[in-house]
Amino acid sequence: MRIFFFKKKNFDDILKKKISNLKKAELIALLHRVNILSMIKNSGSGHIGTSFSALDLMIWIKFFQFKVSKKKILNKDRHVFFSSKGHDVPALYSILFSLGLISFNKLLRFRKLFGLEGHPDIDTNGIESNTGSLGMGISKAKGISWAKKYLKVKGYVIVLIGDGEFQEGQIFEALQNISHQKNKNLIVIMDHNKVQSSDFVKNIINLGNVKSKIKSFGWNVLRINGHDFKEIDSAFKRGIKIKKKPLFIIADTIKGRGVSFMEHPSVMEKYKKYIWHSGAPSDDFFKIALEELFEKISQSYLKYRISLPKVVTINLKDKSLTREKIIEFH
Amino acid sequence: MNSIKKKWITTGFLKTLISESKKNKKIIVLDADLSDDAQLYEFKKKFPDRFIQNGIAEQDMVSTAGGLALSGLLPVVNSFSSFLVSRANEQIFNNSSEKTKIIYICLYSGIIPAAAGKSHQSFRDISLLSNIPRIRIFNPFNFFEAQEILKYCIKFEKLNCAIRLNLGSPPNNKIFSKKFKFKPGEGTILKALGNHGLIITYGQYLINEAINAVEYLNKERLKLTLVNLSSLNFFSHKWVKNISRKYKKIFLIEDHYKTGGMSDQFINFLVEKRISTRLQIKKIALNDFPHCGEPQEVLKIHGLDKNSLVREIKKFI
Repeated sequence: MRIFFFKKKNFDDILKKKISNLKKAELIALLHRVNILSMIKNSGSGHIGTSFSALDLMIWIKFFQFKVSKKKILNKDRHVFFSSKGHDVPALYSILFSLGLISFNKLLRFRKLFGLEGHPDIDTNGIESNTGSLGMGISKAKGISWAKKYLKVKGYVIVLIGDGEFQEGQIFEALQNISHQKNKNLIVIMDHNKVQSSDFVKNIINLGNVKSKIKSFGWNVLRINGHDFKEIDSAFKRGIKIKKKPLFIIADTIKGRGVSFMEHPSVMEKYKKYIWHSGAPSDDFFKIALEELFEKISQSYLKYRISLPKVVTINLKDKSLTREKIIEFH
Repeated sequence: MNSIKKKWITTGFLKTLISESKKNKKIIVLDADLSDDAQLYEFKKKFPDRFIQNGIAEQDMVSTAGGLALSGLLPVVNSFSSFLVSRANEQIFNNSSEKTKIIYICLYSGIIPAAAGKSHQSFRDISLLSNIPRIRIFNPFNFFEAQEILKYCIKFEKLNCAIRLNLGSPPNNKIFSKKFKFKPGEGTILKALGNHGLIITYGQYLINEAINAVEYLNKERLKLTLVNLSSLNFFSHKWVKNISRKYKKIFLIEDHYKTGGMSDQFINFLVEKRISTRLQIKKIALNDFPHCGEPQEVLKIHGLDKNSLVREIKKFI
């Protein structure tokens, strides 16, 4: 069984091209989906659905809107981004790898001893907070944002939460307190992919009119398509202009976005359950997913008239990096 | 400052908190609407921009403190022990896993005052905190020790600190207005009358009962030594070895539930470090939910007042 990775250079090449940021983001997202699937296949476990629903948001944040360069990763003025749900960390690891903050060796040690932990840990370069147990992230972002103001340093604090996570009580303590305490430079984004571990969110505990709920807590709420880079970009730009209220972006997303048979509408229809919430795909499913992604990559590169990137392949049975090969994919 | 509360543990704590905060601008106080009992409004008056009133939202408060600590500040988090440590336990654990340093004020620790009942009495907190890595638990027994311990926690301790504070006026005994040297991990001898037995306890209420018991037993020619052990979940190997050589019978007394308190930590330490097996240990702790009532009647019903201690000690010696 072979797994495939795109290396930092592939991402750097895209960034250097004279195409719009929207197009760059589209290409970057495709390569990341390959890396994420390979990481999870390699470890034997991990959360595909949420990584894919959150990926486009994370890419826009980390590559364009709230970029933190490798040099400034410990700078007090940096933008601080982290995910409160945490199980989408394969997406973040893949991004941190493409930004040069995590080594390729580390990426291959996802969920392995002394490698990359199954949920975020600040011992990993570029990880800002330990999360994974749901509900704590907004409160922690509040502390960081308070500290930024007190220490008179710059930067936004951006925290991503899940929609299932919105059932946690601590979230509501935090929402109420933030609008009272008037924390500045704080943005919460909900990856609203509609599906939690065992069923649709609406069947577990319905969030109801989530926009008016959050609004009533004193927030400036925007609702966007979380896979449309143009909408993501404009939401951040519009949102941060309003200084009187903290910003909450509800991003409608699709769980498993990017691989057709993993996208939640079809999965829920067919299996009555989202089967790609956690765990690695079988060899067959992995191959089909990769074929689809490679096809999409070919088309997109062709569309933007860019020569196809080379991909690194590793034989899972070898378990040895020395067998790493760089190949053309077709 | 309220003159009635002059020598309260909480007053000593507050004085040092204010004096240290003048020197250390990283200190930020968070409160879940229970600052009056610790007179923290005095801190708020002096440092309004360093006091975060977080409302009755302990989980949010503790995670917020986590964010402050990640940003290089030193949060001091205040609430009643029973709410702070149990409700926000996972948040304390999560913060600790980030290897930052936070000071938790566990106000109203122990079962006295007992009038509010078991929802407010804190008798599980040592157990709940000590199974979180990287945290040290303290319980000062008087005004001066509260100052010493807070100073140590702010200036020298690298790990998280939980400081249990007894509420209420100090008992009527000179020992509560006397200064003793505080050494982390070691106990202080408050009364050394002999080596028939050693009593180890903590907190102003139990120290008071124990002193009275020791003095009473002295008249009956039973010579005991009383130690205040304000470090509750970590101990100096040298110190423990030393005392276990001198005494054969040790009484571990606390107003904490019988599992996971200081006694268990101490006994575990003896086993782990293979310190003397000839010791005879008697543990006196809570066996059930604490009762509500006047301090003396509640101490008595739980076998923690002077007379009950005298009886138990005589039986054992």
